[in-house]
Amino acid sequence: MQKILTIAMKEFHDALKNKLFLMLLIILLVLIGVSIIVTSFDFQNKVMEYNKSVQILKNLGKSIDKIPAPRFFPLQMLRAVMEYLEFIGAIIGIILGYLSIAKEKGKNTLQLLLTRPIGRFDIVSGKVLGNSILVLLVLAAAFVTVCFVMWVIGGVILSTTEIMKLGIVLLLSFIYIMGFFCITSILALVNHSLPNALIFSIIIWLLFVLIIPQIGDTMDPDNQIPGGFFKSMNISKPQEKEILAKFNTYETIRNNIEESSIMKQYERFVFALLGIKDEYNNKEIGFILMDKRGDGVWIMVFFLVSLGLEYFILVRNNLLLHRV
Amino acid sequence: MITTIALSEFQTLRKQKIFILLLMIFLSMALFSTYIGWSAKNTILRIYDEIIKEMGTKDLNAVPSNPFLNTAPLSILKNMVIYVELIGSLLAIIIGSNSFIRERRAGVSKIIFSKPIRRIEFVLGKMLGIFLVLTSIMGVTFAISIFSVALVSAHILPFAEVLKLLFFYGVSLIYMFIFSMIGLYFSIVSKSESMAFLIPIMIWILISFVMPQITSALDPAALLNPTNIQATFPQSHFFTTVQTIIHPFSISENYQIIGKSLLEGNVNEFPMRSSLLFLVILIPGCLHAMYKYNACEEEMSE
Repeated sequence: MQKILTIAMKEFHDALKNKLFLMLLIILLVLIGVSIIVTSFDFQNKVMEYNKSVQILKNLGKSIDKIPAPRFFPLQMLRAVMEYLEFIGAIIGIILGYLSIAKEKGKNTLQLLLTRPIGRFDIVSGKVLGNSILVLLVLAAAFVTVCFVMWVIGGVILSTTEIMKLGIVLLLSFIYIMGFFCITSILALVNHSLPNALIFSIIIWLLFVLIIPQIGDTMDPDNQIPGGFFKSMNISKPQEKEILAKFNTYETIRNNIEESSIMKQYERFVFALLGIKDEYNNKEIGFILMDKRGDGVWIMVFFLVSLGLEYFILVRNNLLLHRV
Repeated sequence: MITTIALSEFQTLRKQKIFILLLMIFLSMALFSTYIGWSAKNTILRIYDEIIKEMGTKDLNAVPSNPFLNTAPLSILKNMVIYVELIGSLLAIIIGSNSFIRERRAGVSKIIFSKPIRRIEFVLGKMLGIFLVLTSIMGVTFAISIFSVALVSAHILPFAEVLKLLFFYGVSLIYMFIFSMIGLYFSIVSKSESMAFLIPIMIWILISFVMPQITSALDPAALLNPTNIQATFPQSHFFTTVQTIIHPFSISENYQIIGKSLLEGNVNEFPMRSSLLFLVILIPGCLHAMYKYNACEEEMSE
């Protein structure tokens, strides 16, 4: 265990010294702050518009019951934050995974490490543990930024349930990012050329995080018009479902395309937990977890399979030591 | 000399597996984007008919007009704007980075600079080679788009539309050339191959996601939707000032505006200034970096 901890601490300190990682971390935190500030201003605008409409109606002596007051759900403000974690969080995982192997292969220290009385299992465990702590700290910093900005801008203090929901989101984000960490480590281990391994990882990220979900979004009939097609046609949600049921094949293909992206599974789970999807807003945690268990299982499978592969490749494959 | 270097650049890239892989993805997406656009449009028209049928039995006056009645024929290609932004620019970064990293990795740069070749000729040759490669890619993509649109819509595009499409791919070529120059610049100044690739990727993230978020207040996922979504921009002096300063330099946003103007015809803006400004900075930047490059320094690390 001591050996694992020593390697983990070395990984942790090495990553903290890396300028690129620090730059990416700063970008992520700034973006999180900016996106919450932008969302807060958006909500303030809605409140101002509501107050103006109320005043006009009052002046006219009419009832104000027909205008719904804007309701504030703090976790819904995290939509852009989650999207940044989907994009940049995955890139952080890729860079950490790459650096973790590249520094050993680049300086030929992997063989040196294995001449010491350290098991290969310890090396993988140490690397995964060190980077896990770092990713958890990054996420914790992100969520502290979220809470701080919310408190400063809107004076919002999250309830216990909301903090619990955020905690589950943090855990899931950790699993999602570490999945990309493991995939990149594997590619860096098996590939002769380290830069090629990095480019491959970026291509995987591009396909599964940006392009496949983009195809699904673009195929969504409701996304064809700004503001939503069904809204422009004055169609209610139940009517929309009824109509779309007649286009089952198209919707099934679209859904399957979206579901082939691990990012979309992650997004569906966290959007439900944070109440960004209206049907899950203010619902019990147990209900959401039960309803979204399929997406949760896929994310776990993605992480566990990539982690298992990393162990398998480094522990079993002797040839790797000669690929430097 | 410049032509020789350019042609060599063109021929060497054909052997690069990563380049071929990304090129295949880009060209497949060019083909697929037409199908996605056509399929989505077709489905929405059928949905509209379904809604009309439903409403027809109740209240004919309440029937809204068909929002897709007067859409431009090229609008089914609107996804290409996003694919050029995502895959095209990444491909351009790889082309730009590889062009000089290859020489540094193999130690060829030392030999080249010991010959009577002027550095300015060398870097201009590289730039011309990169430009030729990108022009060929855009040419093939243009042909794919024309062919696929004719195939799905069962009629050949009118000449005016072909010209618009040609102009769109011309603008896309400039956009991609900017990213290849960023790649080339960092392949000259970076100490390691990984950094030569990662720094341009960071710049790409800044240009594609961070700048538009600050200037348009759109969520990152909304930035990838070719439909013209407008977000409410915060009404504050600080944000308005930041927007005014950053917007002219936000090349990805300006590229989207031009793309929409040409493919959908619903805007008539051509903010080319930012792209040209980037090129005016990057091309002399690469020349200067090459002039300062020390060929005798240690070989590049991975």
